[in-house]
Amino acid sequence: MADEILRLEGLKVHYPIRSGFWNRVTDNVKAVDGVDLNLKQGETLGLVGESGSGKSTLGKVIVGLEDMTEGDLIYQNEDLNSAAERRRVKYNKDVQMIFQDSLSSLNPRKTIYEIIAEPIRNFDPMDPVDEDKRVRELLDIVGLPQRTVFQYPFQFSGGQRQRIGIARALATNPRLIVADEPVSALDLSVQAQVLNFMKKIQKELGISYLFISHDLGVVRHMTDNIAVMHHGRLVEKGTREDIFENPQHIYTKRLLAAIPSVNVSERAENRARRKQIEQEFDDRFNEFYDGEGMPLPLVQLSETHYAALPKQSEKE
Amino acid sequence: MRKKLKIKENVGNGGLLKRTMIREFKKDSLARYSLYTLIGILLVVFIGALFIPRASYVDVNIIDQYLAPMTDGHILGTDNGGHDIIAMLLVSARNSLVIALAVTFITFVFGTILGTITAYYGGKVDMIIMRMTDFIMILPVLMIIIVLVTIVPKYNAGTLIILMSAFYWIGTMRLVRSRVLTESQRDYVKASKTSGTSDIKIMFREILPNITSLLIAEATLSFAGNIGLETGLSFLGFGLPAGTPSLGTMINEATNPETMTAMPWTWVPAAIVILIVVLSIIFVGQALRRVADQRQSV
Amino acid sequence: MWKVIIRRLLIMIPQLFILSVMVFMLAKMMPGDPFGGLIGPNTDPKQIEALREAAGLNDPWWQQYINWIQNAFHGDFGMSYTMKQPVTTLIGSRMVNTFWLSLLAMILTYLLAIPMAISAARREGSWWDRVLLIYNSVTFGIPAYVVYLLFIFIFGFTLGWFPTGGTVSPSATGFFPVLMSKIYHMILPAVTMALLGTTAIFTYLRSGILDEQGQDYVKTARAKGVTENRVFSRHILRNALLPIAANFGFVITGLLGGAIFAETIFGYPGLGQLFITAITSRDYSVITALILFNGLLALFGAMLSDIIMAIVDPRIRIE
Repeated sequence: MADEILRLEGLKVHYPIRSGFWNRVTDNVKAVDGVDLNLKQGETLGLVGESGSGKSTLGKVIVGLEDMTEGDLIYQNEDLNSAAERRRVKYNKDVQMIFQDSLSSLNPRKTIYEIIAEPIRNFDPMDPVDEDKRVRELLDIVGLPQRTVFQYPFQFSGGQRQRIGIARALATNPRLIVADEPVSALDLSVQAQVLNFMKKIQKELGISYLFISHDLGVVRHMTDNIAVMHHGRLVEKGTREDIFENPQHIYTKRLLAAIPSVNVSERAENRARRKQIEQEFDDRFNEFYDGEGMPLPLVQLSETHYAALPKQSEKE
Repeated sequence: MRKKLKIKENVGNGGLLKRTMIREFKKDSLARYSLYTLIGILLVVFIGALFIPRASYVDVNIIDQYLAPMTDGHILGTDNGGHDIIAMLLVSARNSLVIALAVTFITFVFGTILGTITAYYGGKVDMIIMRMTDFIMILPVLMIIIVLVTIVPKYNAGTLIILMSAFYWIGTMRLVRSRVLTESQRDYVKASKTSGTSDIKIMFREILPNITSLLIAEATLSFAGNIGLETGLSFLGFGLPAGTPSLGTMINEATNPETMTAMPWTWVPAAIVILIVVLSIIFVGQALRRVADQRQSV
Repeated sequence: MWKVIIRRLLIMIPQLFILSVMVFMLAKMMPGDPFGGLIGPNTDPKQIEALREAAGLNDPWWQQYINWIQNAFHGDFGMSYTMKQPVTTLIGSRMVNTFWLSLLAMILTYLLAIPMAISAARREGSWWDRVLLIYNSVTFGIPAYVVYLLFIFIFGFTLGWFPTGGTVSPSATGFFPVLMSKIYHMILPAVTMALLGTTAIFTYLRSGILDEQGQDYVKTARAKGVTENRVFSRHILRNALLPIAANFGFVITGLLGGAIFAETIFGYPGLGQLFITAITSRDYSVITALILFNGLLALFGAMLSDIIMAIVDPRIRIE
């Protein structure tokens, strides 16, 4: 079994809601509410869920863009809960991010060279000749022509910009990259290109991905293990086969049923099944969620498979 | 042809801004002529004022008081101190422009730094500063400045600059704050954070370059406003001290109905200079603002 | 809505406190005191000292502040030592003039700005729209006092169309002639102020209309076959006018600041002119009272704006 590089324990991110006459904190939005997760070297973990499920917030906590309210972030057996600790060990040299909106994630006033060199200058300063060499090498890796190095982001297509974002993320030889919906803003034809490319560099460089997406088709293509998130908690996690072939939680089943099928002849059948699963989700909601509508704690089903199932079905 | 275009695109961002500006000024002839006028006036005023001896606008010469234009070699006549109007215009315009420039500079530097920091960090400090500026915005600022002008000991041009700046940085600060706030939401700021760039660098090297064109446009327009403010205060008699003439002090001759009607040459030229300068600045500023808007949409 | 309004009212309390402290500090910074003028070669310094003691000028500053505030609450701002009148009476008589002039100027401003904004927005991008945009950026940017001077020089002194000072002609007798004469005296300053003051309303309303025009509900209404005029008056204009209603309070805020130049130049005896006279003669009790009064007016204006907004904007109303 590969080495574990990152572990989250009981991670919570709560945002206070202020209301009432005196604007006091009356409640919390529980964006992430007690998540345990681990990532191994070289693995791709898919994090799926609907928008607002807290998956993006979780990703931001992992790269250090968001502070956690409670819990532990353990990177290579070291507790790195505060920004100061992460800065000390140059955490972001190892943990990088690829953003959804490639245009917004590249500063429009900077050249490609400056964009890619930014993390190098901060984490791994080298003399200008080496730096230039490294930037050009990265352009090579992501398959962009050398002459683009002094161009500006708006001169590129969406797919090319996403490659630039990847080159920046790769600049310091990271060990984990959090990819937050990296292809959902791209055209379908370009999506596959970028995804395959991400897989290729993973094989070559041995990087782990935390792949955040709402698109299960993409997730199936990319990941080894999958965690399903709903209402800020994990409802099911396991290997790709566990999730796709043997889903246990009603929410996972519902997500899977929503994948459009290309097979026209089974359209009526698919629709009927979808309806049935929707029905089941509504009927059994109270079984699978507690009184406040929050998912139940995870229960281990097999060595790899966990699901937030009610107590009685555990006995069955 | 195509190749040439590519190379041009690679010139750099400074080149890009310059080209957008040149295009805008080529398209808008009003802005173009305003720019020429403005440059012309600035050159004439700053070079011309160098050749005016101090005595000729400080010393009072009662014999030459209120000479009509074209008498004794005074092309535009003289004022109540017997000073040549043209000499007065050059020195006054220089003084007024320098004061307005200084105030614009101070308010923009201060407002930009404070606005950027509060918007970037947000939170309680931001809220407190916003409440404070909300409050100052509704105060009768003009009255307070006038009162302070009259009670500050050892009052001079520097004091006036400080007093004006003390109240007028707020507009800049609020403008910068709102723009930095939207800019901070963009992912490149997050990317810079995960790239290990320090907050100071992110604020001033990443975010600010994205709003410089806007700042240039707004600073230009605020420059026009500051000319109006200084000359207005001087006109009322609460601006530049005696011995440092301003376009406003020249216009002050018009407060006396007799000089206003019988000796219009004492104040009308100064009024016209103010109008021309301010209008040119406004038209240039409008064009710059359009440039900033275009760049925003890139 | 009530919660918003009450909260807004409560914000006034610290604001009023800070304002009063500021004005008090400003007053304390002003040189001299009411008894400075009594000092002559024959006065006994001890006598002055006794007067000061009796007036509480030797008390600690907070005691003086409390006294000052109490007096201010009772409308007692002392005497104007140049005009030999209680400050309150003086301000009261001048306020009437400023009020009517400002009211007329404000009405004219709205009468000018609203049609300008509507005609510009309905033909966005046309030469007429451009002319109005340039007009409004010019009138916003040029120093108003220069225009006031040129206007009174041209229309008052040179052409003689309008009086050049005062509020009423001394020869006017009887209710109607006096009224007409008063209006006649206000026309030139009010029109000039209105011509220069349209920018804020024009810009807000124009961009408001343009924003609303692009909204989906407007497209829906058009698609349903509602006539263009009806879409405009029933949907677009109604929504775009909301911020203008709220802007009303801020008009009050800027009232006296603008009046300083206008009243001085047009020789109109209102509060602005009084302020300049008081400053020139170092009549500090009048100055202090005017700043406090204007500050209060501004605070209430801003509050009024926020409350109007809370009432007309359903997003705040229904909370």
